[in-house]
Amino acid sequence: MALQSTTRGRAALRTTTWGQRLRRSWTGGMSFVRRRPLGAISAFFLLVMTFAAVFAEVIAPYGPYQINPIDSFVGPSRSHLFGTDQIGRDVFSRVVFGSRISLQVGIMAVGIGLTTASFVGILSGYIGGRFDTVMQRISDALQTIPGIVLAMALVSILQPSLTNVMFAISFVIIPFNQRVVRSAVLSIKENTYIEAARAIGASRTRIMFAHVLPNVVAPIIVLASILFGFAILTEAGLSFLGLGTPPPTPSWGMMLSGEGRQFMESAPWLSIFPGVAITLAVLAFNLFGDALRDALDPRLRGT
Amino acid sequence: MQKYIIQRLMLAVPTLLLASLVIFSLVRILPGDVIMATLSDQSQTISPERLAQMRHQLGLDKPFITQYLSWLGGAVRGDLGKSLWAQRPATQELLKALPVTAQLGVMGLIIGWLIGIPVGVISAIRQDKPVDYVGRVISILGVAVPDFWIATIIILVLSLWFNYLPPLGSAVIWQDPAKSLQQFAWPALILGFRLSAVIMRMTRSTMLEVIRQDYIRTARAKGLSEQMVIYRHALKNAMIPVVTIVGAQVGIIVGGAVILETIFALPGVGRLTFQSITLRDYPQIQANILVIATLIVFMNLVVDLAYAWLDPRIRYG
Repeated sequence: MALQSTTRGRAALRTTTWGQRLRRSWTGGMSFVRRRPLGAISAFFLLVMTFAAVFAEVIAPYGPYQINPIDSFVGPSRSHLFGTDQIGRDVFSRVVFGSRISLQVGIMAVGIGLTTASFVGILSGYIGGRFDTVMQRISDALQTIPGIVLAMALVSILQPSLTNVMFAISFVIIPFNQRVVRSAVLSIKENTYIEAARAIGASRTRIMFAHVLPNVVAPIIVLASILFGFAILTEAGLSFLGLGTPPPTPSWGMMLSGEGRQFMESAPWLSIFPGVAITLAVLAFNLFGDALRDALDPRLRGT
Repeated sequence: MQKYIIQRLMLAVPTLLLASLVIFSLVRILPGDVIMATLSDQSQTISPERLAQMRHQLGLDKPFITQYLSWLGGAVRGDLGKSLWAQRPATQELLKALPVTAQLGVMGLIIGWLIGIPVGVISAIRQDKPVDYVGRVISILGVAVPDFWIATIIILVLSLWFNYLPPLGSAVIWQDPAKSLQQFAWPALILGFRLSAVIMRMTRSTMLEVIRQDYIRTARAKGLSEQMVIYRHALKNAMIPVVTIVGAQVGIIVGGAVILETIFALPGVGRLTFQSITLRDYPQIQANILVIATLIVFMNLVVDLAYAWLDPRIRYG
């Protein structure tokens, strides 16, 4: 009975129709485009990239592993937009499929790393005390090792593979970002609505995940966007060092570092296109993250 | 101030101890031990007796804690073990490599400041104007371009179009400045571009904050020229937080050094660390990461103290 009345109460509160909502998000989106043109262009680029990753089979004219030795080292032309590599694979198709790998690295590494970081940050910030001290000291210690060095060591011990690269990047992300989430939690914790929740007897877990978490989502989303770029770049750096995704996987980093570097003089298109792809993707993730931060966090607006 | 310094020093000790434990376990917790890893590249089979003997020689048959304490004891006395590859003390190898990375880092930082600060200031005083957008995009490009890619392109363009290649090796700057600067110029420029991105962002956001302060309005109201307001009043105060990111940049420098030193064949700490990881030279890996970690802790300490000295509010806050 009590449950029913709450549901009815909520339904009564929610008087807006889907049409109104759609219109509201459309106006919101348009004002984002007008106020943050850089963010909007980046968002558009990221949409295109996601589209390419999802529909790679449809967009790419050739398979990413399709070998055609007769057509090796063909420069950019109408049949091969970005040219071909030493065994005649179509670079454009590999770049398109590469967006899938890059997004995969980003989603997995940032997903695992940032979820763990948020979890630790919320616990550490909300519980405080000895738990907080121990977690923060461990994080201090981990932060003394530069990210790429830590990732290098991890991948080299675990053997280079796409999964291990993603794991290493997600691990590297945790220490710094849990600190960011923790500091957001520390300020939210002092709000009166948290005090009110505590006063009506909400459990610690409930407060942390029903009241604190929704309020730190904005900074977490901003972090995610910027970390996506970081993950893609780190994967590329590891590939260059021979510690990344092993060939023949069409990862942008791999395409730049293996044959791309080897034949840079005779076939510059091999590395120019994947390089431009990485640069644009990382640039877009960063600019989009900046725009999101301005839009989501009113305190930072205009800075 | 004295109390603050002591407090900060006390905090640095447990951090470093914990870092040393992390570094030491990183090598040991994961599957396979030092010997197996060293031998994994060689195809010949090795007798279990010989294996046990080798483990004993390196003290790997002792309990973890004993091994850690003996390594830590050595580290405190400046003995970080012997490189398995070079067969020389790991510290000796490191001492040779440190000046190279230091020069790269200092040159990179100078370039980073020279680009980052002016762009940040202009971007802030012309907020949301085309200049601001261009400045921001260029500075974010600094972190978006893969450094090994741009390095390769630079080398290629220099050699193909200008018939020029930076001289190999690494000349000491006070012995052969011309040669040394030629070797370090390109990697430092790439590193500086990357560092400038963070410096520019920080300068821009602190400048934006500062130019809205009351004392800036006062400065304008009393009729100072705009130049005077920006340089004398705004920039000076905006620079305080910017100084503090130098600490965080040591990490970027070392990370960048791994790739740039490998490409430009500079025998620095980054290349040494990368080489020892590929060669699975565990004592050298541990030594390098420990020294890098110590350096970062030390730099953060110096920066915190500089911050407290520059901005007295910190000490009393």
